[in-house]
Amino acid sequence: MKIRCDIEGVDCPHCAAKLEDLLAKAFGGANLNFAMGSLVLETAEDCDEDEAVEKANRVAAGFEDGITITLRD
Amino acid sequence: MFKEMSFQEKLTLLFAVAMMIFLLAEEHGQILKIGNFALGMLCLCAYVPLSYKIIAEAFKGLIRTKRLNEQVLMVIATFGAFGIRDYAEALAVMAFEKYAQGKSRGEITSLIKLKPQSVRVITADESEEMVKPRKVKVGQRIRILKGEAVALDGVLLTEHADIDTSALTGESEPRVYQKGEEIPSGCINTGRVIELRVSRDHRNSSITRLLNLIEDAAANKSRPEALIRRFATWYTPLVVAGAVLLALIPLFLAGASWSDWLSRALVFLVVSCPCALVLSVPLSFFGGMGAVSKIGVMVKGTVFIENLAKLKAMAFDKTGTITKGAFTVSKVAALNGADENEVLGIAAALEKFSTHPLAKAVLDEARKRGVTVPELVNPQELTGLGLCGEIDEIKVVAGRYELALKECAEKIKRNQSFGTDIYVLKNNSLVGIIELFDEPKSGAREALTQLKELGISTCLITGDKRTAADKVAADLKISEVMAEQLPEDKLKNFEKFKRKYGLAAFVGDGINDAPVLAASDVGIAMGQFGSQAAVEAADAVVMTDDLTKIPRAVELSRKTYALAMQNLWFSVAVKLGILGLGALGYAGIWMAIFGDVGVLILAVLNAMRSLTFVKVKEYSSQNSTAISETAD
Repeated sequence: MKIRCDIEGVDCPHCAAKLEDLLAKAFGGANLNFAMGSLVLETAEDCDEDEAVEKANRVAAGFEDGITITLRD
Repeated sequence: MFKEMSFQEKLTLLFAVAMMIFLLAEEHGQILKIGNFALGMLCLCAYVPLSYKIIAEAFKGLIRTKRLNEQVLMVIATFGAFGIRDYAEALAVMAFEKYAQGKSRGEITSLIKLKPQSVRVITADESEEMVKPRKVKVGQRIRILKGEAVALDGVLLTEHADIDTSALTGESEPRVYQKGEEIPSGCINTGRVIELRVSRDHRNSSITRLLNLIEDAAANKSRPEALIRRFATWYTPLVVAGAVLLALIPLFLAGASWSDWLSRALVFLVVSCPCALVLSVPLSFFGGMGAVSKIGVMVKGTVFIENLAKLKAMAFDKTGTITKGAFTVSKVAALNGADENEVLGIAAALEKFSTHPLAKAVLDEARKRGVTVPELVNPQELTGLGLCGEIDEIKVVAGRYELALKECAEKIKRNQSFGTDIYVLKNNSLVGIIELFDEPKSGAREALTQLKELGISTCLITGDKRTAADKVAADLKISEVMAEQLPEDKLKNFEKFKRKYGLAAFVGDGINDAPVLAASDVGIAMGQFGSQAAVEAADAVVMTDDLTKIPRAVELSRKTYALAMQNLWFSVAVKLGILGLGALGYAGIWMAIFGDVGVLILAVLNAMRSLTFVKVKEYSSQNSTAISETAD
């Protein structure tokens, strides 16, 4: 399942690449598009969306302050 | 970026810049003739408010994740500059770093206009309510003012509407929709106010699906992007190690001055952020994808931009790709005692179960002639060959010559015509042949000539018979023709074709093409009338049926690739050059700041040129301010 999120507070594309690697390890896969401010998480089919976003936020918080990930409208 | 800063932030930044200029003047001109200690104190006054947040973050990151992030390096660099009494430089590193943070980000996002953030929903009492697209349900009425984008797919309730579909199709001519037609989201209302009844929710609307395609494209990274990413992970540690080694040189070299080597090490630290490298190449490709999407071609990943740029050859499917795909029945020949209407009736009964373009022509002709279509049971589609089934417990077959030969009891001769033939069999004997003809699309000749001018070899691969394929190939001057190809032959022969030329693309649309689309370096699907399976298997989708978009997409990809390469070499060359000069003692911190922030900004500006490859019309929006206010 793909969970589409908006991501804010990533300052530099290099950090974005590193965070993407961290998220990819935490989930099945992750796509962080720095230019669009978008994040796509690859998760198991039965995954709860809110839980996944919370987990992604935890990974981001451990990486750098001030990053917020929200579920896409 | 500057606008987004709070007043306090602006003040600290301005104060720091002013202090920096004063310190520089003092260094060179000795205006106030105050001591070093006093200068240091003055510098601290500007430095602390500017950088306390960065310092805090740096240490937090260092302690919590035990990781050398960019902030730590910047902090070490500025501390070092203090150590060797380069006060102005210390301020400059922080000030420019702060300015560059998010600068690139702000510029990019402003150029990518996303979908509307809110929708005008008409409530029961005819009043308007602004609602997030996600919350709007199928069946609700929405209103779109002039200049606004359609947020959700919907059926038009107003008599007619002028709609600009260029965001989806790249067609610059506004299209007129009539009442009852479905308007896809992502289009812009250029006429008067319209109302729609929402037909698809947000998740399934066309603009959402389109944006999802772009987002998912990030996974298909081009080779230079992957390379630069691997390079970046090694670059920072190596440069930092270099800085440490440089700082330690006076230990081993008699007579070397500590402050000289320390300042050389600082140059390394300041240049160590690989942001310019990591951003410039993907951003060039990303901008290129945007430019290509503006002409109505969706590319599902930057690797396909790269492949399009390096393309050597392109193979085309014939039916529905090169030709209109709208066949018309040109002749019905009845054989062995059957009459024309019976032949057409049997064919129509079978073709009802097919999505092949031929099927529609047969059904149309049957309807036109008023033929009664018999009831059919056990329909079966033999992919690429034809169909079979039973009418009144008698086996009937309609399809290609190969199928007819296999199913027919006696030997039959191939019909000689330019068109396509459907052989109709009843009870294992041939009862008729339906001839159909299919003309090339209007832009086909132009597109193929342009491809040849771009140095791309072309080839026609078709399941059709040789006479029909040769005629089309001769008309359009396609040099290679592979005719009478079954789906498995198509794949085999395409792979041969690919080996012969190197990078090869395939353009197709039918269900039979999906495996070949997947096997090609760039699978291009002609989208609008194409089958869903083909669109999913493809790497690039041409939203309209216009073949001339393909050579344009190739051209844009080449421009994009050249731009990305330019950015790559520029960033690498400048950084390595400054590192080299720094180690030798010729480059100071000022040059290092240019190597970090300056290169980043130049690379971003250069990358964004790709967005201007294609010009797009702008519409003035009546209520643009109202929208942005209500959007959160």
